[in-house]
Amino acid sequence: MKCEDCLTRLEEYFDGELQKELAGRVAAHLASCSRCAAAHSELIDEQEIYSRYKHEVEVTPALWAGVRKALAEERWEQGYKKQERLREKLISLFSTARFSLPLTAALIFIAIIVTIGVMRYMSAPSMVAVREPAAVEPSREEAAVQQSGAASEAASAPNEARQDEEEGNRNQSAKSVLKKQRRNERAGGNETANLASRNAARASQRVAHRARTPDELVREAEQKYVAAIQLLSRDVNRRRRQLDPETLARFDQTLAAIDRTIVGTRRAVREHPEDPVAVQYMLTAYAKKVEVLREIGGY
Amino acid sequence: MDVLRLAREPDVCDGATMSGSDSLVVRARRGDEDAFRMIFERYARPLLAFIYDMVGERALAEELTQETFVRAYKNLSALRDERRFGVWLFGIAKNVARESLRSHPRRERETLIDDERVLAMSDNQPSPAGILLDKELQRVMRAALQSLDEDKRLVFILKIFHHKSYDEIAAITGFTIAKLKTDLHRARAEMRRRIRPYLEAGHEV
Repeated sequence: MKCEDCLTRLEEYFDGELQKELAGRVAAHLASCSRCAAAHSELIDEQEIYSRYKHEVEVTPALWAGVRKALAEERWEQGYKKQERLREKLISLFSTARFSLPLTAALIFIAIIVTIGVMRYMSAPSMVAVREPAAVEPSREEAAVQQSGAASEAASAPNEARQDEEEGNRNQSAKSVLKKQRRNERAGGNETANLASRNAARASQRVAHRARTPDELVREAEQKYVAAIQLLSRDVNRRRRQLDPETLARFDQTLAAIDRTIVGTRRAVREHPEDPVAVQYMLTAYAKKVEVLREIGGY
Repeated sequence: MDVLRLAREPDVCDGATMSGSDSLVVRARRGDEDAFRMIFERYARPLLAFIYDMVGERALAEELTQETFVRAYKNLSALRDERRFGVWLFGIAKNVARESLRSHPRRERETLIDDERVLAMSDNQPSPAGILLDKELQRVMRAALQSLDEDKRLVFILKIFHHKSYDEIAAITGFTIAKLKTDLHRARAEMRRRIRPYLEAGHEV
């Protein structure tokens, strides 16, 4: 190694930043070169002088006290800000009718969905009743076919049966229905079969819907809300200690008001189970309680 | 007494690899104030010395050290690797010191050379001539440090007084290795020029 290379890398060597192989070469050069060795000694002497430098600083208890106080203020400020935000939200939610745009949109949306759902299920039986005959029409035709088959058998054996005029008329009408159906089958082909299968699917759906009455659906929705409220209440109870008394009191008042609304609307629904407005009010009250608990719970 | 002296040495106390620092950081992050107190006890002196060397005023350095710890506490959740806590903390201290230097116009800082309290901290009482030399050396060193430009001073302090590796200095300062090597070389040359008389006198005392 040349002196020039050694001196270039001398500080890195002194700082212990050179790779092992290169450090070995510098060390070997220092052992054989007095000029570079003197430069290295100078670095060592400087470091010795620097190590005698005293920083004239002393960590006093006041320093930690200052840090601790600042941290306490910081924590208090964070907690205060959080509670302030919560208080403002509660106030904006319940003190006036001025809801925020997203909240208003969400409430309207929920109300519309609930109303449509309830109205639809409440009107479902009558719809099924109107459409049912069409759905079972093929079976009537089948009956007609069967009846006409029996009639033709009777015609082929005049000695065995006597038919009155009325029966004859019925047979004729059955035959005409059968003819029409056959014409339709010829004209429609597969379309008729598809239509029949669609009708059957619709009919089975209606049967499934009919299995759950509106009252049951409302109860199911209510149970889901109650379950959600129980879960959220558990979390909120854990957080109660973190709230200041004023916020806590406001929160309890709000919940009490909502609970009263729930009790009232529930009574109305029980008395008038088919009243969609009562159902809507009750479900909205439940939704409000869930929303408030979520707010308090910091979700 | 040796233990006391070791405890005062920045290089012994401020290492990021010091055992238990990472677990203290984890505890402090969960809000454990005792753990944060222990972190403070470990890092307060090296940080205070570092900031003092950067800004040159003791009262301001104490204030900025406090600010560093508060800022660290607030941002503990942002620290990804607890093992790098020391480097991270010095990075915050560097930012705090630099912000202070930017916001307060640079002024000639009075250096106190007759601080008996500081001399009393030394457990190795030198001869009267040595005391005088040490006093003078303190004054010259402090003046020399403050004469370095900010980048050079930063790199020099971290390397010479806090024995940080080049990688650690790069992480703290955000400088490239090439820049910090250049700055360190120039800072050493400048400091050497200023303390040369004491290099020779030191051998005689």
